[in-house]
Amino acid sequence: MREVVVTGVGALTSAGVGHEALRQRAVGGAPARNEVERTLPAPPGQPATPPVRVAALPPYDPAEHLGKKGIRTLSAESKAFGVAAVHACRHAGLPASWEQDPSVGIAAGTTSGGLEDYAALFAARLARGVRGVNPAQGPQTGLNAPASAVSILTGAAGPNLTVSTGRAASLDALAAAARAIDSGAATTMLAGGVQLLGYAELTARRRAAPGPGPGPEPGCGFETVAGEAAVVLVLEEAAAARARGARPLARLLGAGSAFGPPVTRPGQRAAHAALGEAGLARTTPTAPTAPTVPAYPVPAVDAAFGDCAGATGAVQAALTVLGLHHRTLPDDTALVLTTDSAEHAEHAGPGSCATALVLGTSTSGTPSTGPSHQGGHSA
Amino acid sequence: MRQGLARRVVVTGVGVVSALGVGAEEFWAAARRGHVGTGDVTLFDTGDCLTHRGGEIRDWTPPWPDEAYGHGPLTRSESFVLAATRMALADGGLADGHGRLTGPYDDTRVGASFGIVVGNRPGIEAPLRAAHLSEQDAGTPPGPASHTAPSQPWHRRTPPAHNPFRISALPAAAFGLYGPNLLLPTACAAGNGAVAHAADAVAAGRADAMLAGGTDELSEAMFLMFTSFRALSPDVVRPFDTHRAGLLLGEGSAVLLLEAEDSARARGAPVLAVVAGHGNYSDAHHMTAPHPEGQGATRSMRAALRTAGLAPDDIDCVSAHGTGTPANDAVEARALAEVFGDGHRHAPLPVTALKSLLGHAQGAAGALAAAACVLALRDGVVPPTANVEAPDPDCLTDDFALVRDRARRLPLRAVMNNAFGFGGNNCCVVFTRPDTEPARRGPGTGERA
Repeated sequence: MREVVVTGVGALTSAGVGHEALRQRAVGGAPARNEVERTLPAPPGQPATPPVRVAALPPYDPAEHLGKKGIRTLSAESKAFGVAAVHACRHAGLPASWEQDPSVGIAAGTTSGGLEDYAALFAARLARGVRGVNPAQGPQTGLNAPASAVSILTGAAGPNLTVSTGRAASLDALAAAARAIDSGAATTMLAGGVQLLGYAELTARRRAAPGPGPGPEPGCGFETVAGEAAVVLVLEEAAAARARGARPLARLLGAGSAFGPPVTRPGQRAAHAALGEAGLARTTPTAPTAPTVPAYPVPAVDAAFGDCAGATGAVQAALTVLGLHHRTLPDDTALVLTTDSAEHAEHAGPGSCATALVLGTSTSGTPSTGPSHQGGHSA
Repeated sequence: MRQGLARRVVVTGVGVVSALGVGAEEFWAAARRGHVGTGDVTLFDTGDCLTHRGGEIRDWTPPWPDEAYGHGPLTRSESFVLAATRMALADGGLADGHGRLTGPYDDTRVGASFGIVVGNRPGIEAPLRAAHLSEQDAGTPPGPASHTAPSQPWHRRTPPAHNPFRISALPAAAFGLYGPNLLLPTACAAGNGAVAHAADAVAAGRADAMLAGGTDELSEAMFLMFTSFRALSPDVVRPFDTHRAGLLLGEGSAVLLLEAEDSARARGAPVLAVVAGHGNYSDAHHMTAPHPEGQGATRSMRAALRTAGLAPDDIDCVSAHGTGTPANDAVEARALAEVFGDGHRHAPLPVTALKSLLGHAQGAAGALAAAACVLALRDGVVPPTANVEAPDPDCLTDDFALVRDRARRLPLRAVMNNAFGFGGNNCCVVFTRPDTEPARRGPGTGERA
């Protein structure tokens, strides 16, 4: 089996641009959440909304990071995911530009990708007729737009994935990326998540909110302030990373996922599966101690960065990688766990999806306890 | 990463909701006859569009009431995938009287993996239309409006939560599939991609069985988008024809029940086909145009062959993506020639394109074609490509034989299923007959193309 390492982190969050801003926010060195009031521009002919408080990305110029070529028609999500990917590559010492290279792939987790453009396209038709539809907007209406746009911008012609399994989406993307490397389908994967807050996404979330909350309009608040994030990790086959002299920040040791109503404990099953795949399932009294709680649980990430929905897992994973690298976490291995427990009154979710990763320091060993399929739980 | 053993993965059940019929056998009988299921669109007004036709499922009545699931009104794509999943489980003998999982597997070892393009996103169209009309009634001029005295709280007049995850979560919750769950919106390659990922999960031992496929519905927004591209045919879909004029959007769902072969045989399940290999490589070229040399398609087909442990000559039929647009068919033909056209075959390689019958069912397209591949292997029959009167000599070369007019009986052992999408998303899957020699390398063990 191929060893998978993390060699770079790129992040755009309400904390700022870059992985260091992310880390500083998490360790408390920067103001929490950085909430702003945002007035959402309504699509043509749609009702305006009052300002809403969100943990928004700071203003930034995508062209400064991506160049001007090919970005004019991209959605805000595609640009943000692209900037995160470029930063992650720089952190990893990679060029972020390849010549149609099939050894480099992309994986993105998102639940909002393309929604704003979809709503805008449809609203334009209502307001202006079929001639009002902008053909340039069409390709950005899909959930797959950010991952596809980054593959085009960078020339990454390997596996290309988008995953939308609720809040677990970006951990699923990271897990799928690691499996692509493990199978030999790719050597390098740029993987993570992106979630931005436009008119359609915010109004949808508002509608799903259960009741009074911290929002500025009484009676229609969120449980937590909504957040924006675009985070990318560079995953590489360890041997290839070593061959180019890269410095691994962490190792990705295992992944697992599960679904079900709370009574079936999907989070616990996902964590167990990931630990099993990492060889850390405790089967004997002498087996090494496995991490049992996530280093950065979802509520802590929500508190620091807002509810980043489908990008939450990528934020958690990036923080964990940086924590392992800087030795600010207590152990050599750490659990990343995202659960989707959005059971809102009006749109009750049918169940929860949970995904877990196990990460280790770049020098941590891999204890041997047997292959993952002996774990007895779903992965 | 320790991914466990590579087990051979087989198909033991098929569920289909399509413009050709509901249920695997109704769908398959119509496909074998070459019945064209496209026609006038009635779901929304196409009066000001350039074309008015699509692959609509007329008068959709769910075989089991949507209300029974207890999750409120469902979009068509949600309703389709619930029905197709229930049919696949029942077809494979793993459903109880209520459609829920029964049999030898622990429910935490059975998962779901589905592909979409838009999924339930069209569910926001009706609220957007209602809000637009409401604004008009209130005398608000189109365009950015001020926030003035709404008759209801603003958030009640705006689009509801759409939550794409419902597509994979609803069937999993309804039928007790509590293992791994994936929703892959990888454009029009998604149906194939979902089958590929599910096969990997079973092969690696992360699940014992998976329900895998795709679903999508005919939506006004997508119809407008393709209208704006001038990519829609005015009448029918003519894949690889000299006079092909575009695609027709369609809808539906297809779901396969995948299991490890040893477990399936142990419970006495009928084994229909083997998921032998797959490949997923992107074009990295353009958001809507395919790579002019079909680079991603070529790499994906070659990776699918390699992971199946097969050579190009081992493939007996190609289920083409075959959208019927001038650019896509030309590029796919070029990629097919690159992979299969070495001139050493003893006979031209049969090619068929299901979209001539169904239209392009988006995220369900690859899954519907996968269902057809499985049934083709079972029966030794290739369904015909309809509407082709003058095959384009600049498309498929003499190394290929487009199956048209009527179905062909062939001793099929291995079939390649192609699915390509916007953004350069490609996924190809090889299915083999169960008595074909097992692949030398299981799914998910492919080296780079």
